[in-house]
Amino acid sequence: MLKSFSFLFSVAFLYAGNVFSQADELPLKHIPDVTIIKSNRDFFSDDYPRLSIANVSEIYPQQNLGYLLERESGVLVKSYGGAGSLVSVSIHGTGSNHTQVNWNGFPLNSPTTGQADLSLIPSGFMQSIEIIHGASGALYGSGTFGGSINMGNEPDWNNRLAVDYSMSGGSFQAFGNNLIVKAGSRRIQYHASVLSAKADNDFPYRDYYRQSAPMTKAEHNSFRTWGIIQNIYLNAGKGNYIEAGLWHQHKVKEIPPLMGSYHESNAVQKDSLFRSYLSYKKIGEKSAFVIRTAYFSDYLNYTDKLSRTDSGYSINSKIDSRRMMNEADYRYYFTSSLILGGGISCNLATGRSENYPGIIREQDYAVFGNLKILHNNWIVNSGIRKEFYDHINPPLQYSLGIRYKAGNRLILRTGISSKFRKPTFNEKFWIPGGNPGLNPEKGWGGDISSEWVAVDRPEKGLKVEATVNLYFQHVDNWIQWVLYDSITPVEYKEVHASGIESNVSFNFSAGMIRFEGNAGYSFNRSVIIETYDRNPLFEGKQLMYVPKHSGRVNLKSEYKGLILGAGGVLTGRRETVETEDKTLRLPPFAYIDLYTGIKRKIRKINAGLYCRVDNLLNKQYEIMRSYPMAGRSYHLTLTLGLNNPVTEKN
Amino acid sequence: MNALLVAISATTFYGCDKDREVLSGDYSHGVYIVNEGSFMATNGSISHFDPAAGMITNGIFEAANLRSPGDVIQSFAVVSDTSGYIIVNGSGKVEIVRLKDFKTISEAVPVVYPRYFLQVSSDKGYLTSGSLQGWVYVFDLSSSDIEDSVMVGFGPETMLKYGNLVYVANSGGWSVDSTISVLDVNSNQVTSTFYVARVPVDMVMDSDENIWVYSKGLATYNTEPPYDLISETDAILQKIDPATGSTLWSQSVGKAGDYTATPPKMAISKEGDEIYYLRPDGVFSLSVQNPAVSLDAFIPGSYYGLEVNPGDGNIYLFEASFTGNGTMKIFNSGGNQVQEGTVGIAPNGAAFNPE
Repeated sequence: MLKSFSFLFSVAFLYAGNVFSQADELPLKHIPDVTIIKSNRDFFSDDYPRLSIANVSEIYPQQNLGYLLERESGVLVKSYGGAGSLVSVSIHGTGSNHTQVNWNGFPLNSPTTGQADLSLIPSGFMQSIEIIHGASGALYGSGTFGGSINMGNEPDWNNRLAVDYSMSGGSFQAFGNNLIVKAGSRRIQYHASVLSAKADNDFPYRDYYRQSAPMTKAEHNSFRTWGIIQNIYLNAGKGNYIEAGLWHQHKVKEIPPLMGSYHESNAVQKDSLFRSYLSYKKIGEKSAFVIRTAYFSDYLNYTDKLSRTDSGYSINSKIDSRRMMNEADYRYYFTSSLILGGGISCNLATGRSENYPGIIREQDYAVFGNLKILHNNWIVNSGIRKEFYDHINPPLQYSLGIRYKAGNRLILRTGISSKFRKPTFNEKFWIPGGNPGLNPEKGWGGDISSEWVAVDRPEKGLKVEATVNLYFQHVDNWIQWVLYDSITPVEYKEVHASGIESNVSFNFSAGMIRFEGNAGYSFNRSVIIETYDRNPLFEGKQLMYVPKHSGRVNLKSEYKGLILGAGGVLTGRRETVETEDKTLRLPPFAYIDLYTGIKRKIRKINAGLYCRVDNLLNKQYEIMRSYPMAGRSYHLTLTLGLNNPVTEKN
Repeated sequence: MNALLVAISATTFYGCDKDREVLSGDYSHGVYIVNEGSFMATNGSISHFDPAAGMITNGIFEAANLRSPGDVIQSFAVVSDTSGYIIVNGSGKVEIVRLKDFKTISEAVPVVYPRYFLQVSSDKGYLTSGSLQGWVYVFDLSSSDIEDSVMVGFGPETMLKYGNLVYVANSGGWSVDSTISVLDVNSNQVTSTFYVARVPVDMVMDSDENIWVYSKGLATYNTEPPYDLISETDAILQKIDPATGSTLWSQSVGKAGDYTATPPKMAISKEGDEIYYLRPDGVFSLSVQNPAVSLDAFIPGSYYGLEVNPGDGNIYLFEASFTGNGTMKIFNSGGNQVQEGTVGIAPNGAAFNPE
């Protein structure tokens, strides 16, 4: 019995598919007897290139997911200004609503816009962050032309009591606090994290959109946010696991005037969200079953005033969306090399806004099936999915992928899958302009990737690994707001995105000094092949805000708890309109961050003091045209932690 | 046509060594195309078109001043044959340039919600502004300072000068209005106000010295879900006696709901005998002497801007996209297209300064 469990857990763990994962080399005795039970979408997707992001929350405390991904991954992060501003993400040179952002398996993408605002996701709330490049529509459903970002909360079954507190302060009146409490046993675990952060964001910048480019201080740019996330995990024995989570987040952000503007801004955006889920997992001798449900609520209130002294608002827009999501999936191990899975999902989404014709209510259903075959060094995954919506009929989704382990140092992956994106509430119902008759975006994509361990000398603590990923993504029926008889969204264009993503990472030890680092480069060519009104000005042009070239470097060294690190991001020039107007291009930018810190154990307390300098060279840049980003800023962080693991007698 | 295309190709590559290369051109005369730009992107621009050479030069402000003129350019006005006033609505300012090289000649003048500028005398210009309560700001053209302000109706838009009087169309802005304010240029005072149809936006004067007013009508929606359209008034063309404000002729040309994306713009032929007005389905024409509304578009299409070159009488139409460059199409008075070229983002109109 125990052996069967070990086998099942080992399969689930071995093929989780982390880049550079050494799970393949782990002998069975090292597999923990209690581990994370993968959902089908994780279990059947090891043919996709993926990147696990180290959550360096001690260096970047209270920062949002966008801040972390911009520095630690190769995905394209679009930030509309300083801290707290809207942040969207895209992968593979596609659009902002083409990347599914998931929390414990449930998409966070708003049904109103299709995007996920990463500024509302504190990275410290997550225990795992993983990027799946080109995730399959057959596994993930709507909106994965670029891929998916999967975040999760995970229990530490060895923990008895852990308390971590961090406090930070920095330039432009930035302050933040984060308290994390984890308590429990090997049967039950409770995790809670409370976070607050605020900043005035009154950074100086040179306003190149004004005559003589005067130095200007960002005004009406403050933000404050607070949130709490709680998770409870129950190991009920005999392969039964129950977990639940609650997450509440609130953010108030002043919207600053654009660069070059001469009038004051009084606009404020308030976001308030509530997210919850409940899941039950059952591991049998030859099967795994997961059923889960979630309720999400997202509320946005945008206000503006003609004058700061006005008591009333000139704009008071409220958008409220709620979702109930339910999914069950099951997989059966016919043999150790043949696994069949399948499941169903049923979701209900509602939307309410003054700009909708009443309360929007949409239901969707999906059935899906997957097959995994393992043979020697080969793994073959295939999937099929059918979604059912009100009034629209998305095409059948399919996927086929292969993973081949060529020796101990090389893994090759390739896959092909279809994708689609259902139209959002705004695209269908916004007044004026909404187009209820929109068809889903559709397309297909494929990847070929390799992961190579170039050097692996454990005795010297030396390891160098490299990944290269070639991709192609076709998007048809790309929905865009255009000016016809009115400004309305239509199925407007066909886009081909292709490129290469590469990454090199290393770590080695020199005496007592430990070095680690990584470097990545991406080339993205995202071209408008055709617009359906045959506009020759658009055809053959690069999508706006998708740089052809981008890269990043991170280096870190540690000596007896003393840390010194640096990172850099380079983004090539970007078009800001879809006709490649040279006069409107944004120039390339690069910035360098530097950090240092010291970690010490004082009695039972793990203490750390970190200093970080963002944008060390004080380079001015814009990610989005006329939204200034902050120059050099200094941040100081104090962390205190108490960790008491479960002992054997527990 | 070929000459125009060659010229466009040539100018498209300007600054190919550096994206922001200073251009040295002479823009003293010609056509100044207003590229509104997309909202909240600070990508408005001015294009210059030389009709004689058939040459378009895009982004002349940016090239001359190494910066964008701003966010949402509403209009452009030629002043005293030597300078240009760029009315930048989104950025809340007026940029003043020397026409010859298009360099700014002063710091931008901040104005809340500016709309249109009109030179009313050799030393004075009027600027309409205001999304609700409207004002006409009086500019001293020698100093570029605002020296006075006059309260008019809500949401003032275009102006028209006749003798010493300036007629201001009060569109209502974000509220509602149906009036024309009449200002005396000498006193800068409102001398009279008369009512026209709901939401007057554009005006022209014909060869008989009557004013034509294009009002887009008022659409009213339920304030409770599902926010149904309760009522909409007609879009109206009116012929007005400027002396009395009385209506000489009036006819419906559509419904208010037709104009969610098409601005109700109008222009008059070089001879002043033919009115051209914009609807979502194209440009329609109407005889001044024998006005009769046609059901068929004179020039079918979806346009965002309409002008008539007072020099040669050609009709300038602008196709807009808010995510890419737009297109200028030029038609002769017979309705036949004679030229076409690429301009900036969301072109909404043009100003003319013929040699």
